[in-house]
Amino acid sequence: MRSEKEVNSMKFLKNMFSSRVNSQTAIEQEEKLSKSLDENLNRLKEAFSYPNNEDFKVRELYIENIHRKAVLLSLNGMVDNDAIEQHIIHPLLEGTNIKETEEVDLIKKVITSKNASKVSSLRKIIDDILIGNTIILMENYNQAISIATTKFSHRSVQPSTRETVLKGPKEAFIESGDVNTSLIRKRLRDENLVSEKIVVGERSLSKVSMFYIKDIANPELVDRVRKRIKQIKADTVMEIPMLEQHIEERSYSLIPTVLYSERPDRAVSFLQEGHIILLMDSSSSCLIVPVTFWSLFHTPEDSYERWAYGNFIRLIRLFSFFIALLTPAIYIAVTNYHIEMIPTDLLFAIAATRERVPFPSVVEVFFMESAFELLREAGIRIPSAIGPTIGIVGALILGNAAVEANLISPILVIVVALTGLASFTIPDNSLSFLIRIMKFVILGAASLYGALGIVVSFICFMAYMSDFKSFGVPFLSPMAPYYKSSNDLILRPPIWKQWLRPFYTDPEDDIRKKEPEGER
Amino acid sequence: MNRASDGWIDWRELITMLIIVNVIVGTDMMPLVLFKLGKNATWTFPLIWGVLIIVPLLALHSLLKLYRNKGLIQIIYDLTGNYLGFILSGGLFLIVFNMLIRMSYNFVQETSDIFLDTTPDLELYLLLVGAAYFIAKYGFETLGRVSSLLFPYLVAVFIVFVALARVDFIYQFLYPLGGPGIEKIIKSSVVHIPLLMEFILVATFFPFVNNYKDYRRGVWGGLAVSIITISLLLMIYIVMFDYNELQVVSHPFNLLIRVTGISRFFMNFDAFFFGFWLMMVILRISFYLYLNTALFAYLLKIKEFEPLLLPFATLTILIGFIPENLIKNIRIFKQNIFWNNVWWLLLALPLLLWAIAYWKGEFKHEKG
Repeated sequence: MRSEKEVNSMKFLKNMFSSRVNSQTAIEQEEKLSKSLDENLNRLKEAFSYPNNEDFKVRELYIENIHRKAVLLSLNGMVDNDAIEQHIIHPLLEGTNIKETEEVDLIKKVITSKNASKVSSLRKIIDDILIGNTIILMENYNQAISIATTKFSHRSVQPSTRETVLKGPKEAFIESGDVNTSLIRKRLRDENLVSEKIVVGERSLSKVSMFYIKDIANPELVDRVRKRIKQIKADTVMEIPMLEQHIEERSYSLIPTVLYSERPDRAVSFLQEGHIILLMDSSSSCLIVPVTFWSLFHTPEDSYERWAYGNFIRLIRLFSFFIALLTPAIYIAVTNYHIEMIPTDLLFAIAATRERVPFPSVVEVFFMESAFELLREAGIRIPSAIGPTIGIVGALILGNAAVEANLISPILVIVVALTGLASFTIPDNSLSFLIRIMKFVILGAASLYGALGIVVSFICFMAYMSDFKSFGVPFLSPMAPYYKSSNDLILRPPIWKQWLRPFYTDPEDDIRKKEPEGER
Repeated sequence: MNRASDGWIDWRELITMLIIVNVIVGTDMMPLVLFKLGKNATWTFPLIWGVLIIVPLLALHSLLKLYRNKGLIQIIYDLTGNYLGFILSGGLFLIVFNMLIRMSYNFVQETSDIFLDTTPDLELYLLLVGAAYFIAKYGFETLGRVSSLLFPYLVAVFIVFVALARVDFIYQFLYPLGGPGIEKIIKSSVVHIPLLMEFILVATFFPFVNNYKDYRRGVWGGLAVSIITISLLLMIYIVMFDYNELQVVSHPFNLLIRVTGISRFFMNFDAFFFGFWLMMVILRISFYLYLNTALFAYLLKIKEFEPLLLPFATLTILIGFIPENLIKNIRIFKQNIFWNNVWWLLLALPLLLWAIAYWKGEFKHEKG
């Protein structure tokens, strides 16, 4: 056992080297309010560095009926001033209900705000102020009243920009937890839809709302995700994309394990399949866990369009998935190793245009592919006012001029443009990155060993994908390993035939509806 | 935590894996050996193997059903005791190891002869066996999953291939149906029954399969599909080239994909088919690598065998370098006394095991 002295000196050292600001260490978890208003007030002012911190508002009141002083504390910018005035200050000052002799319960009788509670711990008071509550301290009371008055400014609901559809709802999540919740609840009126709030971050109090449907989502999965969020050891978790990186299980893997979406309709459809949705107040997107390849590959439009049209766009996307991944590699393999595959006339044409190009075709492909990635990145970073320029510059200089200057052969422009176009059809950003990076890997292998290189890298990639798991769910399920589902994979059956929930999330309630009978 | 990630495989994965692993037999250098024996009736060989292997497989399956959670090697040990069990399972291990080395050598030679003649063998070895090791490292279920993912595409490509090759078929080459005579066909085909040995040896992995029903379904289904496919392939060779030519062509499959084209625009489509063929080759090497390591581990009763995969992959490459050339390799294959006796060992082993189990009264025990 260590002696007390030793422990104390350790504590001292810990405090010295700790990066935490005094306010948190100074106020212990268990510290209670005292009866003296001034003492309480001073402790809190000290904690918020008043008066240097001008956002910390202290409003003193005198409640005449009971002859007591009261103090209202709040943080500017986080509270709804109108609500404070109407529901707190007004009733307190006008307060006809407050009688001189009675010990009144202010919460019950006077304050008209919808959410109010009593608190007695200093730490809790500070936390409450930080989430936007207003605190009332009273003279001679060792309890305070905490009233929910949170109001942040946010934009109004706008159409989705990342995941656009032609048919179907347009609205997207915005940077407000309440609005996002209402966007979800509007679509899913179910008493079993649970939203749990989990606090993350050791310093800033960010809250993650975890949505799931109680009688569908597998409790073990819910536990696993909850545990994973609680495990986060970080000072602050600012945004949903950060949370994504905190909760994913394999940080160095190319494959995403979390789906990032800004569409409430999508979130709801995943909820109904037993997935879990994570939202944060400050983010205009949600996270969906667990995911499979299919959730990254599908778009909401696939289900909104009629059966034939939906499947048609799925097939096009599957096709473009392989084009985006393999075209440059196949071009290199065929022109360098398997020339006999090209029809003779075309071969002569290619050879003629390549005649004046001094580089091997591998160099050309790498050059053009990098240039395309450059354009792509520039297109995102460029201020929108000069956006159109990038298209002109890209198409003109890199395409035409490079050919004119004999840097590349014309057929390569086709190859690269096709690859680039195909990569834009991949709906999910993470999946798109995965394909773009793998494209270079396979291209490298193809330039070394032709078809053999493509096959070896592709099959290894496939083995890796089929072994990969997102929160315990195999990435390629329910295809491999096979599980019963509605077969909504590469193609989908008509809506009325999708009566099974996918089994890979092991839902509590497997069946969406009764098995449809016969053909319609 | 859930039904999806328990690491077992079901019949879909088993059946596709067995088909992919086995059908390759019709596309490597084996037809060269077979056509010398079977002439224009060689296509009946797989069917004869299929008939002959039914009884041993039935015996083996009844044993697996009896012993529920045990693989082939554990059953051998249980029934024959430590000494005989060691010899028998050691024999199986040697057969598989021999097969693995010979096979990977052949595939490397084939790839290098036909497609990448300037690439050093070592690099081809590293790529093929390396990829096989990479897949095997993720375990048996990944092998099954990759097979089941690739299978639909392979079937589609095979259908396209047959449809394209069909224009050059001359069906008269199939006659006379009897070939060198029925007696000779049966006699010479029996010796090559080890080409179907996966279907017996896969019993080693019985504990990895969901349940007995799935296992039975996978093995019988796989057997049926793959003997029919091999038979079809051999038939295609005959109607395409005639058997005389086939006795000297060492890689009929690769010759076939080379002469197949789409109309007059794409005269050579071989690299396309070659790609799919390579995928199957890698899966086959991977399966054998895994099987070989598993047999070795069970033989010596080592519990964790996945770390042994890398040493065995290395060993495969190293030993593969010993035989000098193709002709020598075939000679070794033909003259190998060990190999010539494999066929009856494989056929007799399940029957022997079953007989011992029957004699010991294990089956009665189950009923009571």
